[in-house]
Amino acid sequence: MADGAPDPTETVAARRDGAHALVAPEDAGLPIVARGVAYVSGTTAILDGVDLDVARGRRLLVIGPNGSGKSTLLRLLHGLLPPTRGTLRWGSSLARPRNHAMVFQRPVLLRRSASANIAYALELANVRGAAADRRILAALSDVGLLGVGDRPARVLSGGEQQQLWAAHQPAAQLQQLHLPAR
Amino acid sequence: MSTLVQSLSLAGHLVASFDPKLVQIVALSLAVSLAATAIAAAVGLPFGAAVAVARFPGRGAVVATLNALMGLPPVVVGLLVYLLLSRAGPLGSLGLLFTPQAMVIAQTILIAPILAALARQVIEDAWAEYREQLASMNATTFGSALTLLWDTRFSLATVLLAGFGRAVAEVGAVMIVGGNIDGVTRVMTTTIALETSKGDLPLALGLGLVLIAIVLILNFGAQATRAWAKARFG
Repeated sequence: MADGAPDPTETVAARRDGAHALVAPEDAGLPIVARGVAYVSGTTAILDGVDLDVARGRRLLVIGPNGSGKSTLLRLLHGLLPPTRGTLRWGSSLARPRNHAMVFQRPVLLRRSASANIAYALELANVRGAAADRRILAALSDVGLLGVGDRPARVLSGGEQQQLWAAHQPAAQLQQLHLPAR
Repeated sequence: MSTLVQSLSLAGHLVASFDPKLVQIVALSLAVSLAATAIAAAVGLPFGAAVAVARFPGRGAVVATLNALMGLPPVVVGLLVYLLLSRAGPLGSLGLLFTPQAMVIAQTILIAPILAALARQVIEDAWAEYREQLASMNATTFGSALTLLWDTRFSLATVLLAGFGRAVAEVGAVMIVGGNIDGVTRVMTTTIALETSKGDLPLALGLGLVLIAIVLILNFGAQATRAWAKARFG
């Protein structure tokens, strides 16, 4: 980097024995610490022996060929899948924190308006009323969808749907965002 | 051939002139079956949604039982409700036997499993699509079930119509628990059965035409609603 500051983006190759450590303060469900994590689907070992620390304030890229387990790793780190073996810890907790989110490659939006989709995410984050309205407008504005808030989410273009899904996350003031591989 | 043409002509006249007797029978049929559908929906749809999203021991047996109950024979349901409501039965003191309420109970028992089983299938398919994202947003199982009930509302409307169609077209249960009493519990299907046996074909045919028209209108309406919803909401 030009100013000599450390590059906040870390790159980790998705290896079945992959390990990488970063140091960060322990709060907001961070760092995410994986130790000896394995995931087996049926008889197929998708991940094995993963030791990984995901720290606060750093961007982490996970790269690897198709079928190397990148998406499975994201789902494990997001708590959507339980590891077959090993442990996952979010900060000091063994339970998935509520303030982490994941942007899905193919988001499934609810059959309601774009605004109502964000309102739904906010309601789950206990944000309602005028505060929710403000955040909905801000979120739609941030992703350039202010003009389509009243339109049904599922009739938006594919790109707009991904932007709308991404708008859910900052709207709910989340701390950690898991982005999918493309 | 001439009898059929003559009967059809008379039946058409009965329908076109809104014959009071025919109208009364159609109105009672619709009232009983709509009430049964509403009650069965209030019970069956949430139950189907719960089974779709919840994971618990014995879930497979519950799903299999629900599916099996879709084929409940109406006369068996009628017999069971008759035994419950008859003077010597556990609910005999309510005095509901041979009343429209008894017919509503029988039809509700008949179609609630249908609504629950079909709703379970519709919502489980949607759950496969939504599950990860709802979990990612920290939706609870109960909240997810409610969300899916709302998001599949247009498919569930078709489920409701299937239940209503089953209710309004069945004859065995309402014949047993209603008694087919003229002016009290006589509905379209029981009247058709009775009038046919008496040889009064025009009324039977007229009611048959109305019944078929109702089913057709409902199904066209459901199809149009789904097409509109698909275009409107994706």
